Amino acid sequence: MINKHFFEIMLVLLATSTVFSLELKMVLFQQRRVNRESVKLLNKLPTSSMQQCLLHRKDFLLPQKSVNPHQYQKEHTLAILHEILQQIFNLFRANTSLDVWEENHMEKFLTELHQQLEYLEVLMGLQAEQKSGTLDSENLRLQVKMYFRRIHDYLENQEYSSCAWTIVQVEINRCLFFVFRLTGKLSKQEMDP
Amino acid sequence: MLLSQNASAMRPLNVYLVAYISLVFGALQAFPEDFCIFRMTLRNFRVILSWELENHSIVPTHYTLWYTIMSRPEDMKVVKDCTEVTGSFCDLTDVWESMPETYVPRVVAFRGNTTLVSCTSRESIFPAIKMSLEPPNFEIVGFTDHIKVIVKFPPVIPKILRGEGLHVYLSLVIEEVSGGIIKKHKPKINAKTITGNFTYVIDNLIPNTNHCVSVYFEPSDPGKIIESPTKCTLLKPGQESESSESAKIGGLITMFLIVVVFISTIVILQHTGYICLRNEFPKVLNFYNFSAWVFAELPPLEAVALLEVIHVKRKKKVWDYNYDDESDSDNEAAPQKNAGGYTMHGLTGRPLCPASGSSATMEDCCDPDAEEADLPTPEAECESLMAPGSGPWQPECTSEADEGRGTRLEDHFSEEDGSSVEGSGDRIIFNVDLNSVLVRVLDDNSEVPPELSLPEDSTELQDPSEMETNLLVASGGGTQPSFPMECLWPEDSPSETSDTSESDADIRDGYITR
Repeated sequence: MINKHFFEIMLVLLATSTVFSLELKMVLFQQRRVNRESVKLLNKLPTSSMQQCLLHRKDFLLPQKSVNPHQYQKEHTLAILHEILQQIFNLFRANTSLDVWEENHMEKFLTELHQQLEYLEVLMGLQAEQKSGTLDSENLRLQVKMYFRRIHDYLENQEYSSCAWTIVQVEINRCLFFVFRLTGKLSKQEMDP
Repeated sequence: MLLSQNASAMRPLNVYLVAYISLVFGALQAFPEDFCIFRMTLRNFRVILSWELENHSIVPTHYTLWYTIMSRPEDMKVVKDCTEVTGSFCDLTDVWESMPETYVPRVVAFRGNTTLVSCTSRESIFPAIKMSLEPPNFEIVGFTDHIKVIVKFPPVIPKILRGEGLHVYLSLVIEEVSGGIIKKHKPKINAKTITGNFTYVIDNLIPNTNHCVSVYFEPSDPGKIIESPTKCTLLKPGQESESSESAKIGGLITMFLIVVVFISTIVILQHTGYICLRNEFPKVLNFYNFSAWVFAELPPLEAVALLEVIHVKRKKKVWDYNYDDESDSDNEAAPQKNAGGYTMHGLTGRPLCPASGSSATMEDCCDPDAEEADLPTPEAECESLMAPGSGPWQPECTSEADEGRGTRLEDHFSEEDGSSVEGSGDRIIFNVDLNSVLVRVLDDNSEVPPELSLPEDSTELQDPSEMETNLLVASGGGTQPSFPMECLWPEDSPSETSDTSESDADIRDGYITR
C-alpha cells in the first residue's frame, strides 16, 4: 500500500531539486559577475604600482586541494565556496583602503559578492538534510581559513600599504578563478549526477 | 690531469656567463625604462604576445622577452624561444600556461649589440581578461534549408585553455545573418569537445535565400570581441523544395482519404447496428428511472392472480373455511406475501376476478384467508374490491369494520409494497362463467359462516346487469377491479337465489347468489 505521504515527499523532492538547479544557474551566473568585478577593480590600480610592488610579492600558499573540484561531493563544494567568498567579503569590507580604489568600484564588488553569498546560503539551506559537519569538509574549511589568515597577517605586516593591497588583489583574482571553476563543477554535478 | 684541465677551462666560461647575465640584468635596471604596449592574443589557438614601443622614435632590430609572475616572488625569466627575435611578438603557448596567473612581461630592445631600451607593461596581464580571442577558422556548407558550420580546432588545445570554467572566459558564438536579421547561436564547448573540428548545424532556414555566417569567441569582457570575416552562401532552391511541397500535398491528400474512409466506416457500422446501438429501452426495462430506484419494488409485469376454481356439483355446500377470527385477524394482519410464487404487491385484482372458463367463488376472491395459498394477493373483500390506490374511497354499503379492513388493506399495501397501485384505469379482466360461480363479499361482523351457494341454473338466476357488474375487468398490470356493484348490493343484488330467505342475510353477509 502506497504511503499516503509518498506523493507529498516526492513533490517536495522535485521542488527542491528544481529550486536547487535554478539556484545553481544563478550561482554560476553571479560568480561570473563577481569575477568580472574583481578584475575590473584590479585594473583600476595605478599602473606604476605593479612594477614597484614586485618586491612585495608573497606566496600565500593557496590550498590547491581545496579548490580542486575533482575531489569533492556537492555538499563539500558548497561549503568551500561559501567559506572562500565569506572570507573575501570580510577581508575587503573590514579593511577597505579607499585610497587605493574608488569607492564605487569597491561597493559594486562587495555587492556582487554579497549576492553570491546569499545564493550559496540558499543552496546550503536546501542541502540542510544532509550532514554538513563531516570531517573532510571541516578540514577543507580549515585550510581555507588558514589561507586567508596568512593574507590578513601579510596586510598587517605591510601596514596595509598600497603595494600590499595590490598583491592581495592579485591573489584574490587568482582565488576567484578557482572559485569559478568550483562553481562550474558544481553545476555539472547537478546536471550530470 | 684531464679533469683539472677541464676544470680550469670551465672557470672562465662560468665567469663570462655570470658576467653576461649580470650585465643584462643590470641593463634592465640601468637602461632607460620605457613602456611598451603588450597585447596577448589567442590566434589559431596559439598564445601570442605582441608588443609595441610607445616611443616610436626608437627602432630596434631585435628583441628579447622576459617575464615574471605576481603570485610568487620570482625573478624575471627569459623566454628562450623569444631571445633576440626580430619580430615584435612571441609565441608563449608553452610558456604561459596558467589562466588565473598574472604575468608581468618585459622586453629589451636591441640594435645590433646595443641595448636601446627596456620596456615594461603599464598593466599586468591577467590572461582571463586581457587575452584577446581571435576568431577561429571555419567553413560553411549550404544545403536546402540548413547550413553546416565547421569550426576548426587544433588537435591539441593549449594548456592555458584547458580546464573547466573555460566556457566562461571564452564562449563560441556562431552568428547567422539573413535578410537583415541576426541570429546568434552559442554552442557549449568544453575541454572535451574543443579538440578537432567542431560541427554545428543551423537549420530551419528559408530555401533559396542568402545566408551569411560569422564565428567568433565572446570573452567575459564584451568590449573586446574580435569578429571574424563573414562567409555567405546561397541555399539551394527549387527541386528539393518542390518535391517537399508535393510530398506535403500528397501527404495531406492521403490523410484526407484516410479520414474519409474512417468516417464512412463509422457511419456504416452505425447504420448497420454494429455500433451505437439504440439504448431506448422500454419503460419497463428502464432501470435507470430514479423513481424506480427510490421505490425499490418494481411494478409487476403482469397482473397475475391465481384462482382456485372449486367446482362443486352440489347445490349447497357448506364450505368450512377452517379459519377462525384469530386466523383471520392474523392473516389479515399478516397475509402471506408470496404464496405460490406470486408477489403480493400491485395485484389489487383480488380474486374477485375469476378466470374465464373457470368457476370461482367470489367468496374465494373475497376471502384472503382461504385463498391465500392460491391467491397471495392481499386480503380481499368488498372493500378490497376497490383499488388500493383508491384509498379513501369506501363503498357505501360497507360497514365500519369493512372500512377498517379496507384501511388496513391500504396499510397493508403500503407496508408490503411500499407502492400503491394507482390509476383507476388498470383493470384485471377475467372471463367468469357466472353460471357456475358465486362471489362473496366477506363480512367480519357476520356470524354466519359464509356459505357457498351455487345456482342450479345460473342462466335463470343471472341478471344481465349483475353479470356485467360481476365481471371483473382486468387489464395489464396493476389491477383495479371496478366493482360498482358493491353499492348496488343492498338494492340491486338479485333476490333470486336459492336461499331467498337468506337473501337478505346473504346480502348482509355479502353473498351474491344467483
